[in-house]
Amino acid sequence: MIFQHVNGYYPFRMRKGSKYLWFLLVVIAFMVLVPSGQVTAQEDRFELVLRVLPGYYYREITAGEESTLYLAISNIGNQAVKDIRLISDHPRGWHVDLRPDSIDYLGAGSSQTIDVSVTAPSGTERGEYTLTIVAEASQTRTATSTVVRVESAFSLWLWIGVGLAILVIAIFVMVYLRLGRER
Amino acid sequence: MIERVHEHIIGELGTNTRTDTIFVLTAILLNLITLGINSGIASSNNNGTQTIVMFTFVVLIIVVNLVAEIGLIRGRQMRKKLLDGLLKMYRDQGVEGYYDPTLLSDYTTRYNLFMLAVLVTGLIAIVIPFIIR
Repeated sequence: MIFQHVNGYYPFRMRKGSKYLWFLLVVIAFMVLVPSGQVTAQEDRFELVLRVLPGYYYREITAGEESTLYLAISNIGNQAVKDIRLISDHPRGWHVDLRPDSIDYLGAGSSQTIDVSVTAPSGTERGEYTLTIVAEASQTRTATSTVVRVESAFSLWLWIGVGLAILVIAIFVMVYLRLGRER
Repeated sequence: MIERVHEHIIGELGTNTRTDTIFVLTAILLNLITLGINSGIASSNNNGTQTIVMFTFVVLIIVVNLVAEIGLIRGRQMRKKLLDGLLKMYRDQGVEGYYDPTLLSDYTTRYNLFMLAVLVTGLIAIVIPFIIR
């Protein structure tokens, strides 16, 4: 109805209004089409996230015994990541085994669990140690750290403390028996 | 004269009580302070200097507890002597019926308990930091 002419001519007002209408249509079309164009032009994003599963952070392990931690690697990018290598950075002398130690293909939005077997040498001193796991592919790289608390299977310090306590008790009893007699 | 002697004995007993209280409180307080310090040292990073400091405090605990124990033993003996004298005086004056001699054994038990309290806090102050470490 808007474009209907009267006697073969567009009335002046109608012709001017139709120009505005066309302009409006073009603007709307631009607004609709441009965002979808942006989506199609979005860059490929390769992004991995590595995290320690809940309950496995600040894990207590015993020196000389194997313990297992669990991590999850997630691909939060929009492209699949191929040939991911998993490497551990750990204190010297420790044995850290990652299963799997490489991932051939991790699709966008998918995750995988990684088992980390940790063995601290028998003589490891009691304390907190940092374990870092790195996941790297040709396109991206990520890392995460966790604190491992080592408890010694045999604590020399504990026995020193017990020995001192026995010594103190012995001294007390000796002094009491020697001096404590009623005179 | 006997009244002066009586006052003197009572004064000595008061001094003896104060001295023993100081021994017990000082020993227990020092044990608890040392427990805190050594626990702090034990839970921090281990190195040679900290180990030396820790052992120095352990020696301090042993010495102070030993001094407290000897002091308490001597205090108990002194109290017994003073009370024996007092009791003899009462007996001479014919008023011994007002003083129950079983109080002497009660004092002995009390002193033993004080010594036990000092010993146990001392042992805790020594052992706990080594357990933490």
